[in-house]
Amino acid sequence: MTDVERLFRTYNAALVRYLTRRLGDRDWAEEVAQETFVRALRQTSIENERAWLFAVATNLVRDEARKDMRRRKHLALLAEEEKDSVSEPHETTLERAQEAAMARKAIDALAERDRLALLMREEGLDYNEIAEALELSPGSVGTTLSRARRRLVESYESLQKSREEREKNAAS
Amino acid sequence: MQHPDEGMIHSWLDGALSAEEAARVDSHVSECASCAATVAEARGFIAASSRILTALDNVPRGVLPAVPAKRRDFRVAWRAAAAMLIVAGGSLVVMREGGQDKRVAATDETTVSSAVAHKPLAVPAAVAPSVDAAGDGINASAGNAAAASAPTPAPAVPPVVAQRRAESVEQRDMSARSDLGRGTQSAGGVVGSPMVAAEATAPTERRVQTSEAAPGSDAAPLKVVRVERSIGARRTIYEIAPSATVTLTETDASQLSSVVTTGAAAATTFGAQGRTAPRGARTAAPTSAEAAKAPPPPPPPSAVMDSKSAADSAVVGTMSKTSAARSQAGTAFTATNTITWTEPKTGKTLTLSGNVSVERLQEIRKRIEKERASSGAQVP
Repeated sequence: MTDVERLFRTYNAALVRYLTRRLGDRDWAEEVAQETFVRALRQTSIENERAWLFAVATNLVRDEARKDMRRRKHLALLAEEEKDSVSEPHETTLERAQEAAMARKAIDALAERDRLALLMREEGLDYNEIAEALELSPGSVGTTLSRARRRLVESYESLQKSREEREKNAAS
Repeated sequence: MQHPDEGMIHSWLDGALSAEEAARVDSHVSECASCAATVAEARGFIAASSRILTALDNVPRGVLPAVPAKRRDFRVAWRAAAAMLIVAGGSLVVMREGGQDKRVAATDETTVSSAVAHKPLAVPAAVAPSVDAAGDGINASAGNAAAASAPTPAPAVPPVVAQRRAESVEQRDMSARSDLGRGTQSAGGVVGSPMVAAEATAPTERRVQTSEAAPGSDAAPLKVVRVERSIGARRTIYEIAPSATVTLTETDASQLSSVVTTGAAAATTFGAQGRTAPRGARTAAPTSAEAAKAPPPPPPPSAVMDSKSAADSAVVGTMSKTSAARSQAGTAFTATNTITWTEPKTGKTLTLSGNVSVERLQEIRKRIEKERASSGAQVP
């Protein structure tokens, strides 16, 4: 097994999930992940593979910031459409879609560094790897993560509360 | 120990602290209720944020611009399929119509071929004797021909002729071409013109009217409107009706011994009846199948006349497919028809043209020939 194959088998799933959560689009995430592994091919040696891969993927995403903005708007539109289709019968699917839309809103509300740190942590990167990928001091990762988690949850709960109130108003 | 901040608690829960730091936090939290509450809250945040982030995985593939592109491809595929269907359907219609046209053309050609085919057989039996007596004029020879073939207005054609005609109908356009080819090559042979074909397959009723109409039209002398002269040519314009004229062109170009028929009116019309009621005549034109079944009429006067022409020179009857199509389009009677023959006495090429049917032109030619014969062929 070549190095790239090993890298791919070891990290692809986590990287795609991370990017999917970050970008909100699986296809785009896979594209970026592949591009990340292509860049890994050009490296003679990588000290911390996981940190390097996540850092490169994050930078690739950042490079496509304009596209990201455009796509986020599209996602926002999709989210609005989901919101408007409350009365549809497929409640399970709808519920999940609404959760996804709220999660997207909540994660988008975070600062970029907090968001990335959180997403990387969710993929199993340790504090040192996160620090390396995001060029942070290792000591600040805990603070970054705690802030990100709190804000994410509070933001999500706020959105959830708004939705419940809207549904209550619609019912009454 | 000082109360650990939230960041440290998260680091502790994430296992990111050194063993020493972790042990310190662990002992503090177990003793400090508020810190224990903060730890509980932090656990909740960690679990909740994980759950929230998991919800982000519920992203259908291609919600972004890739999707419209795929849908566009799908639409394009459908459009392509629809376009192919339309083209295929259109082609089918065109092919079917083309086939009909071809059948129509084949019918005309078959009609010609039936005449062509049976003429060489019919002539010795019925027409050939009248050729010998042609000096009496066309009507006389027509009468002779009818008398020779059968006493009734609708005599039966010899079985051989009918059989040959049926064969030629079956062989359709192939036999038409080959028979025409043979006819062209046969020295002194009798070759039917399209007009002959129409005459030959016409209902008996029409034939009687035609033969009755002919003497009447011969009665009045042709009225010369004017005569134009040019180098090597002389054009005489005859008035044949209040608003219709024909032009006779005489040129010295000898050796042109052919009858050229343009405009295929003759193929589907029947003499005088055709002139007075062109549409009716056209619609009454027999199909190839009818031609095969219908009782064959006696050889018409024009056939006799052609036989006479054949005695002078080889006569070639031609009818193009395009002219056949034009005939089908109902424009046959507005087209200018032209017949050309060589006057044996002077060797001049005479061309007669006008917006009338070929039969009418043949009648007029007959009269012109008679007049020229009686006046000693006044040639300038």
